[in-house]
Amino acid sequence: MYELLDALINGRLGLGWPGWAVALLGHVAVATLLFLVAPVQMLFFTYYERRAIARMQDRIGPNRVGPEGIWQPIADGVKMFTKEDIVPAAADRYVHLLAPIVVVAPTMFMFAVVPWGPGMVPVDLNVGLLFFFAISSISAVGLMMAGWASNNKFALLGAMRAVAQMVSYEIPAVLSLIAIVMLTGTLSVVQIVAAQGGLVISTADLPGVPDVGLGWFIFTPVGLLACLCFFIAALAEGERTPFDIPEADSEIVAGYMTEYSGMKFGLFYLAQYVLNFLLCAITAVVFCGGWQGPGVGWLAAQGLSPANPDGSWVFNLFAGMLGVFYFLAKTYFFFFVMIWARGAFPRLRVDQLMDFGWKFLIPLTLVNVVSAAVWVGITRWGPEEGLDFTAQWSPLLRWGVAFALTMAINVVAYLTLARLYAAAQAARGRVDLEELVGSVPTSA
Amino acid sequence: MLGAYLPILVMFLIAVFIAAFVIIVSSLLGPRRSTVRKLAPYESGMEPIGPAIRRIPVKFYVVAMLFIVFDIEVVFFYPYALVFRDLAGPGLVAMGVFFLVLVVGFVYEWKKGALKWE
Repeated sequence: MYELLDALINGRLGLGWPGWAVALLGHVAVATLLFLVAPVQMLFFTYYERRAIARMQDRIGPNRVGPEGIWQPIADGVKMFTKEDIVPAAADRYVHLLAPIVVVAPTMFMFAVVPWGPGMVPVDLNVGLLFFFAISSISAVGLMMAGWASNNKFALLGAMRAVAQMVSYEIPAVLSLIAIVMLTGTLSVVQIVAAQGGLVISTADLPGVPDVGLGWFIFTPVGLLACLCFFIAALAEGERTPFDIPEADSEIVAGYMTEYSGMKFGLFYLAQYVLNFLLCAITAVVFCGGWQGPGVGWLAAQGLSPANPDGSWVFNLFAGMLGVFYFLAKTYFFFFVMIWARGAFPRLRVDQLMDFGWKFLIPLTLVNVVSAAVWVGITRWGPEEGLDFTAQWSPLLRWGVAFALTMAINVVAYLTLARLYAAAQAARGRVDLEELVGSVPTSA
Repeated sequence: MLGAYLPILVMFLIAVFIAAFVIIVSSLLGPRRSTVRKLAPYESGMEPIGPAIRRIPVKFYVVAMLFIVFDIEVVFFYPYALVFRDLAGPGLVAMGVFFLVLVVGFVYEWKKGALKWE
């Protein structure tokens, strides 16, 4: 981006700008482009969700505005812009105004570290993954502000629930990512994607494997379990249906959004869908290779790069387009799974939600961290790390042993925890029923 | 080093600007016809009884405390995880001890009933 702008401004136009001004202009251009793309994604997501959920519920969904209702989100946006902005008399005006901004700004901001294609990342931070989760928890503050400032019982209750839920499910999400960090040894999202070349087996584990961009972590037992746990935690972070108790409309109206109208409500809505997009995107990037897929690596190798100065920029363009296509296809697949879950599952109770997070997901992800350590020990370590019995093994044998061993650990852990958890839930269900029966006055 | 965060700062400013801009534009476009009923707290049509902000169940604070302890432990985990491959033996021992402390704390919370939500 910098070279391109520099060539345009100082080379072609001959304006002679200093380097920092060109860099700043580049950053502003990238940020503006991203923040134009983010709302468009969100608009399409709302339309996509309404149509898909309508199909699952044997309805038609919005189909009046434009062909197949494709302009429905635009119409909704115009409506929200022209609605009256009501601030309740009892509300804290300033906090009420600030809350939507505090919720939206961080979620847009998280786009900074998501790579869209080969070399197409707004900022390649060396702590990208940590940045993503650090920023994502800021919006919890905004939700609490919204609930508190509204001075409404439903809003406050919804905000308390939302914060408790986000806080509880952040731990399994972050823990399941630790397993991937251990496998790759990096926190940079770009390098995590780069480590997923190969064919089922990553090239990082087995150097000779053909690189067709399919060495995704989801094909390893550690990555699969991490992906499942992370995605379930992401459903809770994004307040998607099995975990949508913060805005359970049959109990607490709209939760923390109850007292918001017009575009302030629209901003909460925007934040939620942008967050869902980002959570799906980060699942696709970290566990399913992001832009990696058959053909991208080959195209990128033919293109213009420092290593290949006589390549053609056409190949760079095609590699970028194919990479973005793979990335968006995976992201939309995960978003479809979110909609599917909404169509398939009823809402959980608050206590079930807390139990599931703390007593099932967290132990499972802790076991997965141990599995990741086993995987790294077997595939990477040799005599110099004090592990000499694997020294004679071929890389393929090491990979196989690591696969079998981690698979065994994870399956045993899953089955044990699932049994324990189901038994605990069943036991509590019985107690509840007995209390209920005891409290009913029996007619003599 | 901090130069890498310049684009982050630019993005942050633009994100805040967009959010504020949207609210300002909508407040200019929308009508303003407020009535007493409209400005009352919404409680599904019932007359609101008592203030909305009152004492909050203590279990939320317990969750917050657990989160702080646990999340900081997990964040400390990240540097270990990052260099785990190179640290090898001594790193594994250190990480194992730390992991054990984490698990013991977790089991203690569990058995103490801090995770009970009724």
